[in-house]
Amino acid sequence: MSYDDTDQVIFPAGAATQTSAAEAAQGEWDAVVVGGGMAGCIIAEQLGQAGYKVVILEAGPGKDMDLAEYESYLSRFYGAVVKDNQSPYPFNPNARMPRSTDTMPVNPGTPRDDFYLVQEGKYCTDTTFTRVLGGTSMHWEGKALRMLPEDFDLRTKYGQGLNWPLSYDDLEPYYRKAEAELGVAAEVEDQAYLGMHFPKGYVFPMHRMPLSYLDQTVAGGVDGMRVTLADDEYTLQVRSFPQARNGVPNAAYDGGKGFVPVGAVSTSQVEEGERCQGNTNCVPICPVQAKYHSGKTLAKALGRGNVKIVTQAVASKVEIDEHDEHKRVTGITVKKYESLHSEKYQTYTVKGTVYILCAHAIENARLMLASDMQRMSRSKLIGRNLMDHAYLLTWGLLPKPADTMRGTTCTGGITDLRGGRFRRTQAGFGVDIHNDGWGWATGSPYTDLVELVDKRGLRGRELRRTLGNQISRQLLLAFMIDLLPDRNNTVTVDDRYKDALGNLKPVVSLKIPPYTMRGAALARKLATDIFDKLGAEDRTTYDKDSYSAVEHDGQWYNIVGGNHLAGTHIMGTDPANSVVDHTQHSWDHDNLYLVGPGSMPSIGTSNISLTMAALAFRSAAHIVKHLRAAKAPATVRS
Amino acid sequence: MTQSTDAGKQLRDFVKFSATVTGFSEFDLWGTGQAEGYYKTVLNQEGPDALQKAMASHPHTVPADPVVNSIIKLWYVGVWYGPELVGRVDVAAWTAPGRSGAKPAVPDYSRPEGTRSLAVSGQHQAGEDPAHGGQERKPLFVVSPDAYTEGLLWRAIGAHPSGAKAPGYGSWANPPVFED
Amino acid sequence: MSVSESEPAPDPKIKTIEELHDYLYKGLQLEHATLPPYLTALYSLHPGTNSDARHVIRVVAVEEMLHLTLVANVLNAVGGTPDLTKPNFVPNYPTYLPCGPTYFQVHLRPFSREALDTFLKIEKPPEATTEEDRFVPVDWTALGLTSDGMAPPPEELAELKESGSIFGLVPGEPTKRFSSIGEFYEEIIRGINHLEDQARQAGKTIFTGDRARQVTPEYFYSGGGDVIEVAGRDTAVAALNLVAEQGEGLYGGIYDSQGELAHYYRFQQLEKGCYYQKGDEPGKPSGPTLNVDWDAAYPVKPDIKLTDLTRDPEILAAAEEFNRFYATFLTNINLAYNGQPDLLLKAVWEMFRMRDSMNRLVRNPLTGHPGANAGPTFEI
Repeated sequence: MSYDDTDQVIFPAGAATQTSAAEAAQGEWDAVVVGGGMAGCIIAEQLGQAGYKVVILEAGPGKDMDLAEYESYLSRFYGAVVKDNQSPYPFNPNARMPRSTDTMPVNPGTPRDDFYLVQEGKYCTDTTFTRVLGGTSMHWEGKALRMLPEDFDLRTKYGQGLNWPLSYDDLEPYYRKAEAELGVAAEVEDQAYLGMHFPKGYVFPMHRMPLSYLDQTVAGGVDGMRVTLADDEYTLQVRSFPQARNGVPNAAYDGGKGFVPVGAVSTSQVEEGERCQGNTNCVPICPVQAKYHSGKTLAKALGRGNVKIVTQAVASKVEIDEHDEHKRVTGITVKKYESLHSEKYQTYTVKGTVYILCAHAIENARLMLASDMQRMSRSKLIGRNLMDHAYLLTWGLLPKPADTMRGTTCTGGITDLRGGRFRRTQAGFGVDIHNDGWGWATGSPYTDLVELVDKRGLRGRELRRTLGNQISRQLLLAFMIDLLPDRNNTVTVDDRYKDALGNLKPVVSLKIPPYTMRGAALARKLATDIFDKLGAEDRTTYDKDSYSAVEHDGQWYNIVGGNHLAGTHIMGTDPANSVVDHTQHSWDHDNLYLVGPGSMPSIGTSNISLTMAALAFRSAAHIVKHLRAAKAPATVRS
Repeated sequence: MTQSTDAGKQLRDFVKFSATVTGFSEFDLWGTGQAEGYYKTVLNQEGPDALQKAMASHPHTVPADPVVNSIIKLWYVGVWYGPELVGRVDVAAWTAPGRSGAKPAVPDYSRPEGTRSLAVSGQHQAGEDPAHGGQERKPLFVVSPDAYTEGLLWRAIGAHPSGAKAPGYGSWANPPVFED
Repeated sequence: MSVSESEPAPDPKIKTIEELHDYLYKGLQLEHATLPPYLTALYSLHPGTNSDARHVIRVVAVEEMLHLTLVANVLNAVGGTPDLTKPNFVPNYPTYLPCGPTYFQVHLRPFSREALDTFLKIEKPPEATTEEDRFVPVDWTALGLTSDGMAPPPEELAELKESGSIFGLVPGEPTKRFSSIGEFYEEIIRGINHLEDQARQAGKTIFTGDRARQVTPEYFYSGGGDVIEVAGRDTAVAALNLVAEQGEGLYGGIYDSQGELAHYYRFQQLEKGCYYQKGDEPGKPSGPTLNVDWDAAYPVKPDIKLTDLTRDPEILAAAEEFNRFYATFLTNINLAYNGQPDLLLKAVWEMFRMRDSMNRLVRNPLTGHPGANAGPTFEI
């Protein structure tokens, strides 16, 4: 290991504050990147590597990414009364983020600070994304699945959804780049299913995470189970998930060069997070940074010197020269606020040769709509086709203690029903075996404690033993169900809803269609069969009065958010059917790229991060070409 | 300990009593490092008389003294659930790690004053210590960040608190082990 | 430490392979001996405080495990048999480490300025300038062992040498000791060179150990330096040099050859309140500032023994249980060094369990020792 290898996780001290918004506005940048999350950091790092001057505009708070800052998140989580998936991150009135706990139908009279996502319908999703430096990669779970080859042409194959303008094979090399950047632990032998293929000799950077004892217990019942769907028979098995978290490096990686895991980021040399320790807390925060977050990429980018970042700068308007035949972007106007405790801000416009919006599906759409760009859009699809995975939770009590509450949040699951001809009529899904018990669904184990202490009056050793026996038997199966693109699932803006800085809030309308619910119905039945096989007592209940209630075939289900938001500026083959082309280049604005899950025309049954990262690498290569052409002295432009 | 011998004895009595009702040894309770903080929490929230009464009550009396229930839950998860929250499974659900979704009537101190102040009002500022500071009663708070990580619940279930005291890479592949 | 690959000394102390094995056993004992003091200080820290100190001590402690492993690899490579389970392998604290003309005591102590001072001394002993300076007469009186300055009687001496109470004695020469641990390792390297030269003249090698007994990088991850598989003279010298460099830095710089900040400088950051960064000169860190809260540590009774716990039966039971667990831990590490390297991965789980046990011990106030808390006694 050379010195430089270990140096890459050093976050240059002061980098997050040394560039003022005023300086950024005076500078001439090759690229202006909006958003310091996974997509933005990969783009910035790649363009920085190609020698370009890049500035990242980040809405979140402005301290350096050091261990102290990171541990303050952890400490806030420990001390928080409500430990939802945003609890580690400070409340920021100036760049609000949705919290699942805020989920409710909103009307113009609802107090402004009670919510960020505006949902006016009866069904409300509790989905979230995170607006701190590092974005949602701070709280993501870290599963890093590829999409299936068939996911890229669902329309052609099954008459559903939309085709992508590129194929699995087009993206495959970039998947490998993303797997290197994120540090994915998996084995090819586990992942080569349903047509997923890898170049000969490829190995993942690190070996697979060991399956939990709970996974092994479930496998005892599931392996070999058969399901017949649309005349096809599927044999189920428990399989380990690829994970963007540090495990045992594979010595055969990169033709035998091996892989050096990237641990915790700080402004000084720290030695932590080189391997997952099993904190069972991937969401909302990995305590040791064994899980990838985009600060690892950002530290590299900022270390180059030609990449700068301005924090506490909320992109508020995309400035466009409407008289220009290419409708070029002329700047990004940001509101730079003083602190989390003040609504004071100053406005600056930052200018560059190309602009890349990497603010995640909802914020990209919100920003463009607030900038009146739908008017200039030929497809009128900005903010349309909003997607997220529809999650159905099922839970049961196993006959014997099975290790619940140990391991990473999820190590294994069932992936055999992600693809197949049944997708003509109903959604595919993946199944997560949750190592953290029923918490997501019920609030266990705290609810068990209150039951046993307050309702059953248990004390002392009996209390202790009963808790142990009861909680260690919990099994939660989370079904991640495909949700197809639908023009009527939308992000819009509405002048009646503004945040503290006067920026328009996103108005979200997401309905769960019958196609998805048919998948949910099968999921529910499959869960029952699995619980039967395992001798587990099915304890699943659904609440029809909840905002997440969805009726299907006379049954009520609760469909909860997956935090996998996508599809608000989908890619396609022409300006009439899409917002961006296959390189995530805007059809309507020559120097604008929209990079992130918003470009995905479908999400299949894999969480969006790895695919987003692969797309970002692919787009970075195109943006470099774009910049090369734009900056070439020969191409004098009017 | 810096208190007078008398205060020291009261604290030791509190720990002795807590050992009976929690099923953990006095060694284990001292071993959390929370004994003093919890003792002060109960004193500040319920006052010395209520604490005295709770400690004198027979552990299996029906109905139980709700302060005893609060003390047990305090040791198990580091959360002060005031006696008025006895039996409130709905509240407990929203204080557990991992839960997500729309939240019922649970106070949330991470918000500015006046917003979503459902059961109680007031922002929990950094540095403010609800266990020791002020006279204001609060029915629900986490005593301190380490009160969470020192919760006995996790030992009772053969695990570790979500996000702390990790057991080590790959250990999760083994069957669970319960201490006695 | 002045370890180098210099010309063999005219008169190496190590003349037989058995003597080399003895020296390396002593090396194992020495590398391990720093672990209990580091762990005691580390786990005495109040949770949620002293993040900087916590990370610094943790990394050093983990790298001491690496050193232990490196010495075991060398011992295995030269056909020896590591044994961490011998009686008295773990010292009875306080123990003595050589420090130039004097000795200094290493105590089991909570995190404090005194503890940090000791840690700095452990990691950077003074260097000997001349060949003669490498050895110092043992002052038995100063050590409190005899009143007339003479070495103790043979049986007592044998036990002392075995016990790890005093490090740096020259085996077989009760009147002398090494001036520093660095010189002790220097002697080992000279011994290896000497014996290997001799062996090669006879068409042989001293590196006759079974390769399967080597601990290779897949079995040891530290977040710090990397383990070196020892297969011959070069890798043996590299492994022993790394042990030295990680303490004090390479060629007078602040980093070792793997780009890791040396232990001495890691600790010095706590003293200076400032992190080192690339390009810094020794003694002049210029990185981000750091904070130390010297009071935010549990007051573990220094050099605590089981006999201090007789009035607290629950604590006594827990301390005894900890010691049994620690003994098991050493047994398992020892098995890892004796042909089952994969057991090192499980040892990490045991380390985490010991962390939790130590945390409980240090928070328990002692009866009859006002203001003092319990702690692990490491009486194995």
